[in-house]
Amino acid sequence: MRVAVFSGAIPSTTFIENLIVGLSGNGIEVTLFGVKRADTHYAENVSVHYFHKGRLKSALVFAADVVRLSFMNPRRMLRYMKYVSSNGNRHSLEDVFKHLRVLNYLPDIFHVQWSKDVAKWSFLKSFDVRLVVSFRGAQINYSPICDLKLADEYSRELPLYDAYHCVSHAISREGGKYGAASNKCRIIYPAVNKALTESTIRSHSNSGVLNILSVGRDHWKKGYRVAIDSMALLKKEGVKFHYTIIAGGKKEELIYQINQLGLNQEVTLVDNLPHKDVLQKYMEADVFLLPSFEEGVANVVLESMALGTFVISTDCGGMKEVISDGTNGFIVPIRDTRAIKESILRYMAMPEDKRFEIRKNARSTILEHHLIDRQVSQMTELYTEVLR
Amino acid sequence: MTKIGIVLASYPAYSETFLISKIKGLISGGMKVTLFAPPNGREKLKLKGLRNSRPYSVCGNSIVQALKTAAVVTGIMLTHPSRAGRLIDLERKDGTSWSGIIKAVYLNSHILRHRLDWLYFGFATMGLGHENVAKAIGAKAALSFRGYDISIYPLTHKDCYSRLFGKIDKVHSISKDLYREAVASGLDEKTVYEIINPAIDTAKFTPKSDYKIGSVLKIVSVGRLTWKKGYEYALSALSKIEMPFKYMIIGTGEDEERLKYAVYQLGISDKVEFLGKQSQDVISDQLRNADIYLQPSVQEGFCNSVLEAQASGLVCIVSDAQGLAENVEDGKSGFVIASRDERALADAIERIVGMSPEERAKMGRYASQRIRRKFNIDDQVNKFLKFYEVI
Repeated sequence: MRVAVFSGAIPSTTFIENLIVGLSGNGIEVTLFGVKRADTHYAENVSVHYFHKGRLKSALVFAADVVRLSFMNPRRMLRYMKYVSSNGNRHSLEDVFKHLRVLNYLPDIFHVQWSKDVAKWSFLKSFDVRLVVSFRGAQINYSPICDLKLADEYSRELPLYDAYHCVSHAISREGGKYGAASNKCRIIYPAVNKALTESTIRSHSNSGVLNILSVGRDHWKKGYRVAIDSMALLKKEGVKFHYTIIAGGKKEELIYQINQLGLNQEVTLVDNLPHKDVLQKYMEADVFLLPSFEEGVANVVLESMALGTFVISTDCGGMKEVISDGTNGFIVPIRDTRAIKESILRYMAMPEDKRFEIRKNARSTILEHHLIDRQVSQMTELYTEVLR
Repeated sequence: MTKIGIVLASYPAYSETFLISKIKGLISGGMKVTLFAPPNGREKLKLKGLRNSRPYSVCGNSIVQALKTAAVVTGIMLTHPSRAGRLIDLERKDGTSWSGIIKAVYLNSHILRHRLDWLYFGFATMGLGHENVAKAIGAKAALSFRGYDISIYPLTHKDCYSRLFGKIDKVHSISKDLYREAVASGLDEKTVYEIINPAIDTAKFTPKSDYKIGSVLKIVSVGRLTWKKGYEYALSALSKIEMPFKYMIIGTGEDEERLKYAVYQLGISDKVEFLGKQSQDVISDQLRNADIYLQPSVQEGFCNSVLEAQASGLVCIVSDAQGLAENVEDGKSGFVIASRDERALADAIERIVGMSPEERAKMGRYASQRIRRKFNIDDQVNKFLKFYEVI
């Protein structure tokens, strides 16, 4: 079985890289296409084919690809020429360059990791390639709501795909609005490394200052604005706390808000940290807060739960499928300043043995449903079904 | 004849009518105006009596830039040796490194060629990198505080004004609140200052006459779609209101997706309309036909849109962000509420709906008269001529 895991970038994000390593370890031949971002070291059954950016280089590689395909597989070349002559206006020249690369190293399954790319690759269907697309978050949850052209494109293209990898039931319902049939949806939750579940679960710090943490880039969908407003309410109630947000990006809005609300002592913004330092921060936090408006399933929450950090999450995307309120964390409504404040008071009022139980349950949830091994075997199953 | 140089970040856009009418006013008041600004893709403003002087651009290729710097710096040292020399002396006194000094000469060389009475920085941030040039050419330095430059920029650039503030002869602030923020950011209280509020061409706005609210409450906001405008707070507040309403937001901006998704999640998609960028005529019509104007900003210099809404006789709800509390007279020309307070916003809407048409008319008329009296463009120009000691 040859599967192209396509994200357009090599290497890709952490969770896609984890998937690549897992699949190849499971004996699947993985093919990668994309622009080179850094050096990579994969197992032998992973083959890498770069897209080139420089004009001269990409033109030369294109010429070579054309010659190679014409000799090795003239019928495929002819079929593609026919396709381009009738659908050429749908693709840029750059797309054609990329198509030729892929046609030279055709996989059995082409798995599009970011749904915005679906229109670029659906043509592969007529080359006997099975098409899979992942629904991961924003690109299904809100992009088509704000961009009606994209919504049309999804409705046209998604039915052409053979299977939809959904990171939650919630997102499969969103995909359904654009023609992703539910019988072709496979729910495969995101996952974390087992090593994270091996530390001892710590207790509440008892330092007298509640230590709250959020992690995730500076973007409006992360809901930090609401979280910081909640902190102002918390301060008014006389609660002693410290809130740290680890986020890359400009953060101008947040810096201004913290200053305006007089929270310079209580709220700290930290730039991106190396992953191992972030893991340390999770373990030092009493509460991990996910104030997001939109997520697929937030990896930062899975990591926190694996490490046994208490999680308070908004009811966004598929978060409710991971956290059940009061059992392995707290769930609060989205965009609700007071609800976040109340949930923190609720945490503070809870006896420590009850909190500890919730932390333990959180880790059990990860062990049961969110380990990479499980994700990889589910994905392998999906591929097998698609080829059947 | 008083000669003034105005330093701006780019040529004024034709839509920035307030800036253009101010420049026109200074010229007709007898000043000679030179604009120091790069085009930044905009068309040159052609006005009788206005001169343009572009700064040398900085290019990405370091070798080309080094050669260009050498040529420009040598050129200005030969043509204006004493002024360039003074600039270098002043920079050395400030402890600027030699590379910093060369940079300062390069970036100020277009200004060094001019003989001026005043060098005026349109925003405080425009003075950065130009700290000593006014003194070097024997001009007095002035600057304006307009909002972002003093409310936000110093938060992300600590102590950015520490050198500049001591070298300014006179400051102008568009509101009292911004002046207080400037003092908190290190402006010496002894520095001569003047508060001159923004102004509008009031003739362009006919006050509305019908204050009866129909079956659907019509609410309007005008302004860029960006976090500073606090639209998310307004949308949240409106999602909790029982009565039927239509909320029209005029303007474009980087937060369009953010706001459209908020509208969707809050379940008010059928009640909120994004009208995009609109002409002055359309805006005037929308204002006249609406029942309530909202300005939920979390940061705002003064806000011309609120002046325009009041000039149209519209009852306004504004937050207390910076100058807004001076823009609207709370309880008389409109309502001022705490920023970031959804409940207060919803309460204010209910309060206005609960007023009789006569009460709303009284408020609207007061607002439009007050704007005509206190915020008209002719008065503003006179105040600026006084500021520059022309009259």
